[in-house]
Amino acid sequence: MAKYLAKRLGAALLVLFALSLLSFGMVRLMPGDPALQYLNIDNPDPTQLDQIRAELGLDAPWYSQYLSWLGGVLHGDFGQSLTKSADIGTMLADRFPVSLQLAVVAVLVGLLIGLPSGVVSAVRQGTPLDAVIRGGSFVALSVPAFAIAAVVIMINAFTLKLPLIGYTPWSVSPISSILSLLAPALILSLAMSAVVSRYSRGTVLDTLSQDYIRTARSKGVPTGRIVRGHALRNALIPVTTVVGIQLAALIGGTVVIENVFAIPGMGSMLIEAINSSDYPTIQACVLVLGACFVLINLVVDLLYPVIDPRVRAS
Amino acid sequence: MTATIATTDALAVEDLTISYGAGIPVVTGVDLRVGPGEILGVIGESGCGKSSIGFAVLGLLPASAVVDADRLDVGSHGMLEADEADWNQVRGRVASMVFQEPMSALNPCMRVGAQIAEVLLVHGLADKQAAHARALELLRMVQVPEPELRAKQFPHQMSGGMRQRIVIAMAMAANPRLLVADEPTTALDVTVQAQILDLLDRMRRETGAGVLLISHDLGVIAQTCDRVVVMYAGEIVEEGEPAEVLARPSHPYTAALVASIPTTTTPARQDLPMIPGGVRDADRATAGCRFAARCAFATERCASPQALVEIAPTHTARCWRSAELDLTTTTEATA
Ligand SMILES: Nc1ncnc2c1ncn2[C@@H]1O[C@H](COP(=O)(O)OP(=O)(O)O)[C@@H](O)[C@H]1O
Ligand code: SF4
Ligand SMILES: [Mg+2]
Repeated sequence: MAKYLAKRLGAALLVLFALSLLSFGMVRLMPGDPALQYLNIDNPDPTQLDQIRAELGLDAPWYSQYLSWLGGVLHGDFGQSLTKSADIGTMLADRFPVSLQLAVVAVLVGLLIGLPSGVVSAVRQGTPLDAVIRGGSFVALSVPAFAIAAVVIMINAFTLKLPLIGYTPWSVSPISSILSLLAPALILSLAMSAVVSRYSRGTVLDTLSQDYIRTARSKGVPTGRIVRGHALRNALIPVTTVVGIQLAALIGGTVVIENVFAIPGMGSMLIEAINSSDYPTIQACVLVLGACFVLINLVVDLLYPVIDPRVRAS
Repeated sequence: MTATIATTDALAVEDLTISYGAGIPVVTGVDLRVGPGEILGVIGESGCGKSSIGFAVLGLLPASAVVDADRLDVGSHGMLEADEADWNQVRGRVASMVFQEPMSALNPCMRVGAQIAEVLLVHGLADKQAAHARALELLRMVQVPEPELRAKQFPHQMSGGMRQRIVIAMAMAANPRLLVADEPTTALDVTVQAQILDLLDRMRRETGAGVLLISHDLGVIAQTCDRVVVMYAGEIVEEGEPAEVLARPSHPYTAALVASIPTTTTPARQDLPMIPGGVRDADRATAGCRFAARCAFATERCASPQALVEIAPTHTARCWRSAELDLTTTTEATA
């Protein structure tokens, strides 16, 4: 057990290290001269450019640039934005909670729709209800979130005129803050709902055909209690993995959705940074988003032994 | 602890026919009677319909199965017209089951103590605390060492033999009148097999439950049963007390089964096909003897319908030639 934990933790740290190298290297391979971007004037004086490069530390070899960046990150210092006169760490502290809130609401909505619909679909296999749920999840999976978002916003503009766009900060009112994220969260979670629904339908059906379910029936356990007491737990164990994967995919989804709905989270911060070649900000965003990815996978791995006694034993 | 031994039969089945979907029936015209405290053995090669009978007796057949009978009494409950709710009253309380695969018969995510206690809780026979205490008592009864520790464990922490004991404890929890054991030792080592059979034997003596013991192994049946039913292609071909049937098999199929039992002089040869050929659908559909295609003694007469006829007061067989053939010494009964 301790070995399992150590192995997972070690793997996560290794991936984080690789991620830091990747995000650092990636922006350096992008076209465009950061010093030029920084000055933001036509035909700048070459000596002036050299001076800027020295100021930004761009004249040092890449590995010493990497090390000093990494050292800063480990102390919570992500450096300064090139285009905004702002500390990146402060910006992250502003933006990250918004994205986190969006993701949490989306995951909750996704599970709330995906799990019950999958279980009902399995238990009522072959009924019209099953057909409706399966049809719905098929549609939700085949249409990309940004397309749905665009259509929803457009239709809303002509009809209900609900305030779908924008974000109410948590500090103003937690309730209206969550409400302001409901539409984007719902759209963001559609794919997850569909995948979780389909997958849990499959695992519940599979579980219901197991020998131990027949054993439970031979004891006189009624169907409802069999589903709740015997099938669900066994069926949901493999669903955990899928939820983890979907959650990670959802991180990518937030970048798009935040832009469509003008939500001031990390996704829109990243897009703004890319558009203005603000390389330290891009680097920081990629690193933080990637770290979330690693963290989610780690949590799923650590959750397994908690919910599956067979993994706990080995 | 000894339960009062009831006088009504644990199981009474008359003219049972089972088919899956619109297919040819896989079980036809089967009559079975299991008295209290009695072990009735059902033997026959794989596919002859033994498990189908076992599941039918507990209402556990899949929805595609069609069951028809003149009588299906489990304990004192007539189950011919029973719906799922009626069956849930009977299963676990009046009749219960031990399965072939102890490795998959238990819920991997539930502690075994809770799985045993569940029988009592579902039927409202005990509260949580009493059910837990009874689970420990049952574990002791089926000779599981360290019951307190074992009750808290999960199935994967136990051997196959131990799991089968758990399944038996679960089946006996509510003191049922009937226990259906479908090949309960097939998946186990030989030494464990004997222990499990001993345990079943002790259980029926202590509780007075009747046992329907299904097996494809005549050795298992001969050793444990009070009466034995031999099945071939979905119907009963011979019935009697094991000693009598073994000494004087009166159906060529039974004779071949008997000849295949390993003795001290002939070792078991599981690789050896006992009788050449196998059961085809056509054999189940024929009006005459279903064994004819594989029988060395078949004559024209064998194509006409036959019934179980009395060989001795407690011994019947379904063979046109049983009176004239001497099958006792014939080990090469079939071609
Ligand atoms: N669920 C099912 N659907 C269709 N046919 C089945 C099903 N279960 C068993 N059968 C068929 O019924 C016959 C008897 O099977 P079974 O009762 O399992 O025999 P046994 O236990 O003696 O091996 C076999 O031919 C088998 O293929
Ligand atoms: S009835 Fe005929 S074919 Fe059938 S077992 Fe007897 S001798 Fe063989
Ligand atoms: Mg079978």
